[in-house]
Amino acid sequence: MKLYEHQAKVIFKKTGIPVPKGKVVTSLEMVSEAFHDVGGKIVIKAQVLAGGRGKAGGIKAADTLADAKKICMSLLGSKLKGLEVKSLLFEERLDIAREYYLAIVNDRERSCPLAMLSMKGGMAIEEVAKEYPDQLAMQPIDILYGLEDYQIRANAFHLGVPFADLNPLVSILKRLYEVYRGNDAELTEINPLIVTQQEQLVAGDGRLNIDDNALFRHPEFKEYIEVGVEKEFKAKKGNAFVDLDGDIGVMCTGAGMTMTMMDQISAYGGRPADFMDVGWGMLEGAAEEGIKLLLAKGVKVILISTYSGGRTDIMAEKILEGLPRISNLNVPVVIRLQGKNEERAQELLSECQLPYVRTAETLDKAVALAVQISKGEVK
Amino acid sequence: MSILVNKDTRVVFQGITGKLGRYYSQQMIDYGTKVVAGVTPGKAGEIVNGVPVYNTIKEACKASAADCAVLFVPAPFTKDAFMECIDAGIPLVLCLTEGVPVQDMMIVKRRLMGEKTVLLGPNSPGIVTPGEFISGLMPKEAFISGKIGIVSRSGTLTYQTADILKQSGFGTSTCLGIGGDPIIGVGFVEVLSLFEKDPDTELVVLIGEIGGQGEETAASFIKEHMKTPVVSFVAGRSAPEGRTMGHAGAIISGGKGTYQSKEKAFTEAGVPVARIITDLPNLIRKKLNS
Repeated sequence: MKLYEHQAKVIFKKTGIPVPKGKVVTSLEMVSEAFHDVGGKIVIKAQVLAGGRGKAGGIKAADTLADAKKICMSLLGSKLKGLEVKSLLFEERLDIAREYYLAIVNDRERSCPLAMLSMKGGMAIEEVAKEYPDQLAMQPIDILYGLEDYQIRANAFHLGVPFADLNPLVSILKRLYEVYRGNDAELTEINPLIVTQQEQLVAGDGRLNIDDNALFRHPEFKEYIEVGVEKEFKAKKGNAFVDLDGDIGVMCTGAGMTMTMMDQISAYGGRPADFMDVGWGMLEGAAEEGIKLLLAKGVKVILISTYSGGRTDIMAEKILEGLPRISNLNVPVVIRLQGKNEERAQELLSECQLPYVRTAETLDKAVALAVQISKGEVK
Repeated sequence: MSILVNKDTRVVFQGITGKLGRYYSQQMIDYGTKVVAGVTPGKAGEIVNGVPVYNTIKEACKASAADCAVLFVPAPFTKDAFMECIDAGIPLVLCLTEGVPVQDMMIVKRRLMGEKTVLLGPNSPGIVTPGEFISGLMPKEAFISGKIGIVSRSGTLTYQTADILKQSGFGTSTCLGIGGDPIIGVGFVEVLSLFEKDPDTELVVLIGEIGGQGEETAASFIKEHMKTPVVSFVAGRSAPEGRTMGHAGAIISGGKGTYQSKEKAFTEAGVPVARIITDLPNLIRKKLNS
């Protein structure tokens, strides 16, 4: 899960990383108090989980309460980079002397954490990596020992970091590594880390993405989980759901199988409406929830197709049990179940009397049929 | 011949007393795989599916001379189970568990340095040598014995591929899934080098997916070190960039790990890439006849 800037900054502060004075605002009624609390000249930052907020008009300066109110009226509830702005962060405005980029991320290839440091703060890191690869220092970290001061120093010297910034930079990057380890992060980033005219180092922005698989160790993040279609589906035993814009509702088990089904649909000239990996939930009736979700989305046909090491006979039972309970089911449902106990599964499907159920024996036959239905070539 | 497992492989099954453990250990026994011990802490002395249960992996290995551990352990306890297996010096560990925290796996990988244990997974569907050894979720329906090796990052696609090959008359020497998680035990390269040494594997089918660099690394290994021909399929050709498709393995970011980059790497290494998975048998025939 991705935390918002203001949530990440709460954790930064707890870990000893300096952050600007700030207040979260979620309604116009809160503006006046927040403005006076932060005091003086402020910046107002839209809280959305996307980069490039400044360029998109999501970060604005305000010198007076009237300004602040005007900005809040235009930002709150608006869409920024396709995401609804539900909250704003009021922060003291800093006089910037220079900016750094700091991050700790998962290094898949080396199977370890990776620290990243650059003097090109404020730019998107992908851009820095592309335009100024020699100005981005990367330090693999041995997870048993952690990040050592000398490693950061060596990289800082290499980049030409001014001596005055050296010690505070070492301290902040080490604390960022604490944030990464202590919260099971996949990524945590300060971009920019601001050095003020008064020579203070402060986290200007904050990103913190938590490994969903480690949430069992971090019950404190539960309150941050937002409701939404994807989350609801997960809560109902589904594995993953991604909304796409085609008309063939796809339901599978396994991410690789689901993508393969989408690839096959596209190759046959059809358009997948979604990526839906039901996973083990297929044995527990999650298919029913998945179908409801697809119907609510509006699709021309539903394709349930997998080759599974889970018991496909039980999957068939659960699907056939669930279908009649869905009162608004008005599109054909193509079912292909292969894998463990497939003979029994196919028996159950062939005995099925439901008029909208079509069965297919193999992956390509199932996809071909679904594509034909979506184009109105067969019913 | 085969790689990693055969009819003589002796399995200790961790988590054998759970519901899934009971079902899948019985599947292995029915297939003829030697399941010689089970482990569940606190359940020593019980017998499940005719197999004696022990409290610890070490005790089980001592009593049964097991050389392969199959783990059916919930994600929060997987790191501990790995550590126990590595400590007991088991040559091969298979782990099916989905959802193991990434930082746990970093620690496990660090622990594996210099050890002889081969770790398959986590989030691996298992490994099969048809007629000799089955494990994990592998449905026996998909496999017949033959000369094609299959290695896959995706679980379900492992058996889907075996089935597509079977329909075209191709059997498999050994078929295994390395797991779709960001950090795993053995990767494509280690498995490919085993297939390269196996005299009975005539061709290898590699099933990849978008995200990560595993396929690109595999392609350069094939180019430099393999005589055995390889054909491939990469899932996610139609996936929109920037969206996460399911498990963490399938993330594309910053132009790395895209379908295009993988297709290019394989093509340059002389590995044909099937546009759709059902094209694989054609590519295999072409490759074997060339």
